[in-house]
Amino acid sequence: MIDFGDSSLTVRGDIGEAHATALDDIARAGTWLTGTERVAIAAEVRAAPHSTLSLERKNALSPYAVAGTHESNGPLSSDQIEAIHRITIDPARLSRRFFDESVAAWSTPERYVEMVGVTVRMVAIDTFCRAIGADSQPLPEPVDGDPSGVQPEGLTTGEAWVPMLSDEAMRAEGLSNTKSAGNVVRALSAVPAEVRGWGVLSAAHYVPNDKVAEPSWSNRALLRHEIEAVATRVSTFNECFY
Amino acid sequence: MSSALEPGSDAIDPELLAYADAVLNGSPTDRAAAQEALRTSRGDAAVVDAAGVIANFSQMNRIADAAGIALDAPTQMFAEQLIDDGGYRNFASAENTEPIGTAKRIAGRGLRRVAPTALRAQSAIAARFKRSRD
Repeated sequence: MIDFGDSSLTVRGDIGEAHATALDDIARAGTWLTGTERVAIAAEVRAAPHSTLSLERKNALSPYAVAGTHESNGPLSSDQIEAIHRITIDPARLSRRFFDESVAAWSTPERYVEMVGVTVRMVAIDTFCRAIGADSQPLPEPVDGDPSGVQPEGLTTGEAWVPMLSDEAMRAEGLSNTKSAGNVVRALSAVPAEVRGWGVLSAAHYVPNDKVAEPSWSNRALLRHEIEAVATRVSTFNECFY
Repeated sequence: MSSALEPGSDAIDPELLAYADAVLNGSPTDRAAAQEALRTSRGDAAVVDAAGVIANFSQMNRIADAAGIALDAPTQMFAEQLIDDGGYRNFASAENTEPIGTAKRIAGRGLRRVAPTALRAQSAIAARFKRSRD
C-alpha cells in the first residue's frame, strides 16, 4: 500500500494498492526480462523528460533527423533506451520503422512487448502522482531471479506490429471473458503477465475491464460520460488514433 | 460532496477538462491552480478520479501506438464519420487502421442513428436495476 501523504488530496485505497502491486511486480523477473532490466526501464521512463537528446528528437521535424546515442551505464543499450524514451515522451510518432528498430534492439518481439508493458505502467504511475501533486514513488530495488520464459499458446501475427493472442487464446489464458477482446487489451498479450499487470492498474485508475462496455457504469465521483470526456481529451492530446 | 452535475446530465464541467489540460501540458503552477478549481467545484474524489483517468489513458495510448494495433472493426464502422470530421486521419497512428469501404460506412450511419436511443435505454435499465438492488 502506498501513501500519497505529500498530496493534499485523499486518495482511494485501491489506487495505492495497485501502485504498490505494480512496483513490486516491476522489481521482479518477468517473462523475458530480469528484475534489474525492468527496474532500469522504469528509471529510463523517469530520465526521458530530462534527456537532452530525446527532447531534441521530440522537437525535431523527424526524430530521425537528430543523430546521437544515449549514455549507457547499466544493463540497457543505447538503442533500448531510445525505445523507452520515444514511447515515454513522443508516443504520437511511433512508426513501423520505430518498431522494427526497437525489436532489433530488444532481440525479440516478446522482449519488446514486455519493455512496453513496464514502460507504460511507470508512465501511468508517475502521471497519477504528478496529477495529484505528489512526489514520484521511489523506484523499487530489483529482486534476483530468472525470467520464466513461458511462451503462451495461440499467438497470431499480421493484425498489428506485435504478435497477439487470438480471442480464443485470450480466454484460455484467463485474460478475457468476452467473445472478442478489444485490440488494446490484446496488444500486450504476447506476454500475458503484462496484460494482467495492466489490468490491475487500469481497474483502479479507470474502470474494471469487464465494466468498460457498460456505458453508464461508474462507482466513482465522476459520472461515466465525464470519465470518457477526460479519456478523449488525453487521447487527443497524445494524438492516439485508437 | 455535492456534484455540480446530476445523473442524466451530459454536460462536462469546464474545470474537469481544464484540469486534464493542465496535467498533460501545464506548468506546476497551472496544475496546482486547475486542481484547486476542480477540488472546489467537485471535491477531492473527483480530482482523484480524473487523475486516474488521465494516468490510465496515458498508458493505453502508448500501448496502442507502441503495438501498432488497428481500431477495432465495430468501433471503426460506428466512428468513421467522427474520424473524418475530427481530422483524426492526420494522426500518425491512423496508418495502422485501413479506412472502411462504402457499405460499412452506410451501415455505420444507420448504427449511429439508433445508438443514442439504445444507449440511453441501456443506461435507464441499468439505473433501474441498481435502484431496485439498493
